[in-house]
Amino acid sequence: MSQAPHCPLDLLPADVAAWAVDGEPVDDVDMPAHVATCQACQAVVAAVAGSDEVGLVLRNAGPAAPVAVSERAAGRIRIERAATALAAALADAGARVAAAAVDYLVPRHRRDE
Amino acid sequence: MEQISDAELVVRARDRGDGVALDELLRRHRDTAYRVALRICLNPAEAEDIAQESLVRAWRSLDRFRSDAAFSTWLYRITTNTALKRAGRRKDVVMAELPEPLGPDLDPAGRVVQRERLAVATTALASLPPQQRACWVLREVEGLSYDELAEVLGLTLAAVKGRLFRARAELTAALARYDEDTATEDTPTEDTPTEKPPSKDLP
Repeated sequence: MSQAPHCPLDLLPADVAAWAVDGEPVDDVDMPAHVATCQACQAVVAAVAGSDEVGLVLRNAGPAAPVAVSERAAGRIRIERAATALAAALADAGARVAAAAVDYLVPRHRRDE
Repeated sequence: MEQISDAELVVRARDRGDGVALDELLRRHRDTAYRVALRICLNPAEAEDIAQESLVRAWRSLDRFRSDAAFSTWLYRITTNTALKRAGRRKDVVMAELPEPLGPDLDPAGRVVQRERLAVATTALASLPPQQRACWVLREVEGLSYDELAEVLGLTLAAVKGRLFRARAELTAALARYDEDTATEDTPTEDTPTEKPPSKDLP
């Protein structure tokens, strides 16, 4: 039974893949030189090779959003904004009514006393 | 309005209640929100809802937006979270229409192969766990850096690399299986009739 190759530097496959596809550096390791001699890392590189071609196609073919997306969002925002303003106005009006009621009732109460 | 930066639009929309600035901000970022939502949830109708919801959420929390951060990165975060929440609830996936393959100089047969490979990859993408798919989409399609990915997804760099590795390995394996199957189909077997040798009787 053959054993899977093991990286002598114990590099994580995720780090090796990030280097292979995106050129992300791996601390203190000369990756090209290391990978040239490490079968485990070569296997990782092979495991992710070519996956970026799909991303490239999708990146260049980004679909445009229907205009309705932002129009509906703007509509909802305006309604929420109006509702907030209305709630504030009602709260303000309620406070004024309450203050007027106090102004009216307190003197009457004192007089009745 | 088009020359004004996102940060200035945010200030105008948030602090001055400028409706025109708000419309411009939404118009400018609706494609990004829709594209990310579509690639994560793989359902065009749902992607519209997610994009709309994300734009509204972004507006609701404009007070918490720091002007030193990029509005787009912030929107990526909101859209991704919204899409992932929905993706967790749904099981059915409707594949969006596939884009045209790259390479206008490809011959018709080459275009068919490219298109099939893309379909295979998109199917493999759909089978990934949503969190892995989101990570891959933000890196490969949107081009976010590893640091931005960690910020948007709320993950450590190691977790980002791990998710990307698994997603990429899955896509590569799916493409390799497709290439192997295609090569097997193209290889003539002993039973396959081959071109007859020219008859000696012919003049």
